[in-house]
Amino acid sequence: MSGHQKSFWTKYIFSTDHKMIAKQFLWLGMFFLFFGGALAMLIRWQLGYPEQPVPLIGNWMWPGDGGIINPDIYNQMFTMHGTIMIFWAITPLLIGAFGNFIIPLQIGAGDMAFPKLNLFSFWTMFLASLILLSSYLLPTGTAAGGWTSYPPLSSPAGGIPGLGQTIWTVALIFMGVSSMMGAINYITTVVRMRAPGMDYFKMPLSVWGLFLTSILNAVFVPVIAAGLVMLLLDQTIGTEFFLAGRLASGDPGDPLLFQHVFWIFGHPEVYILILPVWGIISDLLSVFSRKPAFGYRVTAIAMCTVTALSTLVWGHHMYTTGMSPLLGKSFMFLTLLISIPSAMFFLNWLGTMWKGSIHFTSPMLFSIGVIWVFGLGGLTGLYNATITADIYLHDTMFVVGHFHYTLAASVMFGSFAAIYFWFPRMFGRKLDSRLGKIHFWGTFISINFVFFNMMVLGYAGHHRRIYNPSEYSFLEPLTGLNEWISIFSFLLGVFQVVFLINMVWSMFKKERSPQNPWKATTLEWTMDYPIPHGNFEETPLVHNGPHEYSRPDIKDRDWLGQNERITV
Amino acid sequence: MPVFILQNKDKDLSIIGLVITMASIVMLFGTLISSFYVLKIRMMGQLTLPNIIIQLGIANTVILLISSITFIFSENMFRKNKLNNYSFWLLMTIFGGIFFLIGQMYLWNKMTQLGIGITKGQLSDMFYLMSGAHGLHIIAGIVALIWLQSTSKKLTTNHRVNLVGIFWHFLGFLWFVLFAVILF
Repeated sequence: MSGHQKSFWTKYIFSTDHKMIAKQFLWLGMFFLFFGGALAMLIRWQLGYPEQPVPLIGNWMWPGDGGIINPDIYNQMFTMHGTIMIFWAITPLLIGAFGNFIIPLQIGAGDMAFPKLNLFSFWTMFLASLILLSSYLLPTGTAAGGWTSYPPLSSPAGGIPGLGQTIWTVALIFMGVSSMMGAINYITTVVRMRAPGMDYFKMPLSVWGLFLTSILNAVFVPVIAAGLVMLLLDQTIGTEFFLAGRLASGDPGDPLLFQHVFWIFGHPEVYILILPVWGIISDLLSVFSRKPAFGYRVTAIAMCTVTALSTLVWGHHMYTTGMSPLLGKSFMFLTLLISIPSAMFFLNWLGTMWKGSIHFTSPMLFSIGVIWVFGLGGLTGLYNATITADIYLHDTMFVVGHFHYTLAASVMFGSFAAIYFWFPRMFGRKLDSRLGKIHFWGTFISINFVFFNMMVLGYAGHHRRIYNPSEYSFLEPLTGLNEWISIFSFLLGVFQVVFLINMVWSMFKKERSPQNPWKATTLEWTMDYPIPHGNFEETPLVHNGPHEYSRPDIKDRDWLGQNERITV
Repeated sequence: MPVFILQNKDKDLSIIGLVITMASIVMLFGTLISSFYVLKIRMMGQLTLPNIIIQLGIANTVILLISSITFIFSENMFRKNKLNNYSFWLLMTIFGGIFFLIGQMYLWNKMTQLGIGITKGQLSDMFYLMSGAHGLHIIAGIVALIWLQSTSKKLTTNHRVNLVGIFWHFLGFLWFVLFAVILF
């Protein structure tokens, strides 16, 4: 199609085509999603069946301990689970893969603004992955200070032996550089390369979400980069920025400084991960309800408001660090304020579906799933945001349940919805819908069982990072629940295998998907598969908004593409 | 043949990319500056540098300022299409950047000799970190200048010169702010 022949290397490996880079990010993300998921299963094994040998792989993995996960390994596992899932699974899947794939296609651009920067972004990420995985080769193991890696725990003075923590820091710095390159690219593309007629308020909400995410990435990843460089110097050349008290040899540093720097980035980070999902499902609900998105502008503006507010609330992660009550109250107020714009687009989602002609396809099921799980995650966020409740709930399994509902469940469902929806554009074939439904219901039931009951555990006082719950008598009544959560989390893992099988099998099946299988209006459905390098034969002219469904003035079909003019 | 569509390709895209990059750099150094103040408050101390260090720092600042001025000269020459003069002043700017780096290294050495080496205190460590991170960005700036020098024969518009100029002046201003933070 593209006229000039390309070698294997320039086409598949060092490609500057945003669609190929999107696929590279997709496979990287999928690999780490399953890797991190496997770690989660092992963590659940230890919590459900404390200090019993892991079946099947235990004796092979840890022969020295008789197949039992020992406390050090356990600490390494939850650290790597958090780090990998947030930075190496969700980020490449949603932002790397779908950001790259849909931004240029949906706004009518030929490619990203800086295709070479895009190439560097992926390979920097790949390098970061290798660095992170290399810590598994160390005799002392990987990082073990939690995904937040607070000092002094993460400094050599803090007691985690070996280089694991240092490698973690270096890998994260590289990952941050990759994110920043992506963000610069995405913002420039959205600002400058929209097709004629594509106003900001004609962009699909997916692009809005990814655009806002990129702004947060560009502004706040440098903050954590600075913090990580300081941490790295503490770990390697012996500065003492974050060491105080007995651990500091000279003037005291400030361990809380790292927490502030971490959460100034860390709170926007959770919105970095969820904003694309909000955008994507806002679009998908409209497609499969065959109705315009209810309150399109309100949703877009509410997402902007959340983006702005998300930068001012980091202190709610630190209520128990002894901050001034006055400061704590302001953080609490600002945090609770976020529920207003969130409630707005939440209502808009329901409004979109209200009286729509709903098609329960796999992407739609997952989008509706997001409404449910994000609803629960968002509402429990209010408990954590309230100082009085948080002092009790801080660092319990309640928090784990809450952030897994918002991040793990919502973001995973959003990613799945996106994969089911755009798979025909990426690989030319539709995913099997029967397997998709099995995947959805299996995932939906087990994920809710797991994370809802984690909140119950936390309410009963179960601490979040303990190794063996059976050592505490007050946790004894919870043993059965812990075991059930583990069983359902294994079930959750099994249903993801269904998805993997579906993906691989559908990629190679003969039957091609039609060009626009979902009858969607946005620009990415206007060309044949495979989409050529450069995307559009000629610049599309945009006449309509992104959700022109069921217009009464069109008789023969219920949708109108963004580049189509009505001919009456 | 599909048409590769990029409207106004180079000009507007690069300037927006550069602005976002500079915003990121501001956040990076903003975090370091805030950390410096937090540590300062935490230990209720001051970073008292010997006079010789302050004088060296001022000298380096002046070198960087001069390199910004030589860049303005070279930009003017480019606009007047005097390419030889443009190359000369650009070369002077590159030398200015290199001199600044050498000056900073000398300053670091002097500090170490005077007993304020790395790991000898939080605030001086922050000084090393901030000037070191800035130095890395200066190296990136010098690379951009050299790239400009090597492609100057092919240039048809002055917007590349503008872009590198904005970045170079930005780095100069950034150092001015960092140095002011350290001193006061």
